[in-house]
Amino acid sequence: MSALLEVSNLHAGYGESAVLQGLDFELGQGEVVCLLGANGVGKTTTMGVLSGLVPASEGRVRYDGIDLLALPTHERVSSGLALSPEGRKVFPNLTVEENLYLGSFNRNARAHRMRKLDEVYALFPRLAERRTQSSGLMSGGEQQMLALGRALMSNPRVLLLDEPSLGLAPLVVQSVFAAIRAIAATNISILLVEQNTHAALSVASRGYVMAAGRIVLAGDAATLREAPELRDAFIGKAQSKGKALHA
Amino acid sequence: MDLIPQLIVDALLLGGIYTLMVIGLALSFGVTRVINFAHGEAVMLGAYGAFTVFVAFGVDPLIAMPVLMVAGCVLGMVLFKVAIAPVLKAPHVNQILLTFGIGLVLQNLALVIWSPDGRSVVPSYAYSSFEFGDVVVSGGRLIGFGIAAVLVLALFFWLKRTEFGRATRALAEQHDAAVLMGINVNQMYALAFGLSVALGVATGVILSFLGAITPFMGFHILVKGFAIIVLGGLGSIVGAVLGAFLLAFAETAVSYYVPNGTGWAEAVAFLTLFLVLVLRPRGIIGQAVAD
Repeated sequence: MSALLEVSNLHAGYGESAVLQGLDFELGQGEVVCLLGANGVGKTTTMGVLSGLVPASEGRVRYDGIDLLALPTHERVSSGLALSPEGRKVFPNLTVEENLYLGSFNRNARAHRMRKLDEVYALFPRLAERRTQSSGLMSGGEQQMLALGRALMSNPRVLLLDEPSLGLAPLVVQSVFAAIRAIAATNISILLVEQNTHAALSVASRGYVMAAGRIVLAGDAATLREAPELRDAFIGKAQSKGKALHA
Repeated sequence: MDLIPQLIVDALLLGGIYTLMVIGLALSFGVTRVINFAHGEAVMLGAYGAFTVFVAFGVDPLIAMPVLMVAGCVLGMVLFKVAIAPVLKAPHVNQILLTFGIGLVLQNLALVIWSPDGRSVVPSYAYSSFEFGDVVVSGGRLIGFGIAAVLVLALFFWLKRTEFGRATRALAEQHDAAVLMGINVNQMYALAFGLSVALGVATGVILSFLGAITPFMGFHILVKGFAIIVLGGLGSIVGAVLGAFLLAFAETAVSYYVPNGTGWAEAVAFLTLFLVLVLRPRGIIGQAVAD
């Protein structure tokens, strides 16, 4: 069986600087997979390319049998790919509920809006309490819940989560990851980018370690937890280890 | 006689019309981040549209207005797709020169079609007036104010309550996140630009029965629009409303209390622009805009 999302030989960058330099990985239906690595190895750029915010210069991404890179962002969203971006990027002057409504802007999701809204409020009762509040006034943890809820509103098949733990206190990280686990249980495939390795490996079944724009290590969560390369990746030695391993 | 009540009424009526004049400019800038230097020409064309329909078919400007607005919206969207969309990522100077150039072309087109002579539309209500206590209220201005109020409230309602209005606000606040919501940005930009032109056209229809229509009337309107936007702060629609009424009060006060003040009132916008840019460049409640 082929993977739901299949990334091969992906290259991308900004101007002169190449960030992704031949990235390969895949995500199966219903899987939770994490992309790990130090700051600046290209994790967020990967999410940008998948969502369409950043153009790829080379390589292919197949999503459910179609050429993802040929689609504009809004068509990727309506085909079931949703990104919860790094730094959350909620609409600060809009209310919580308006933010959630925007999550189901695309026509396919609009039909399921009320059902999804109930699901999101059930998953995050905090958001239901704050539905009429401007989202910019909420705490970081609440904004992260909103960003997750907003992505869920699009009725996604694949959820891309970029650094959901960023800037959050440990207890809040725990509750965010509990929510991610609950989302994964609904058979939504999740690609998780994290610097918090411990938290990421607690929800993911498999993971990849990135360094200098490519995968340097792949394996299941238990293996990665023990892997010395993972520690090396965070202090930048992994680049010299060369060839990518494949799961 | 006490001038204050008359001043307040005149300034309020003028402020309503100024609000309509500037709100389109604020809408298109807030969403696309392109300052449309041809907005005054949308107003000018709206006024000539009302004039032409009035002279050719004897149709009242208020009846022609919805049709003219729809035509303006469609023209605005086409203009956006053809001319503005290609320069969205270009430096601001290029965008400014482009919209400025479009304005010049439209001015000269109007000069060819309608000649430089001042035109006017005179439906029965244009020069009517009635007294309310000590205050004289111009019927034309009151009607203009009423239409402006309805349109501005309709815009607020649209922004607040509709799918596309919500998407417009999202796009103005957080571009990348709006893209991630599946909002087709180019389509929303064109829509915001089209609506902005339609609001400009409506302003022109109102001005058509309040004063002279000339090919170059757009320039004065643009300067006033900038003074208002700079007063309220770029990118704030509520600020634009506030700025519109402030400018209206300042102009009306000058025309009442300064000898030969009617002429000097026209300078208030320039003076306001100058003072605000020197003293408080972010406007009264607006945010500072990067680059």
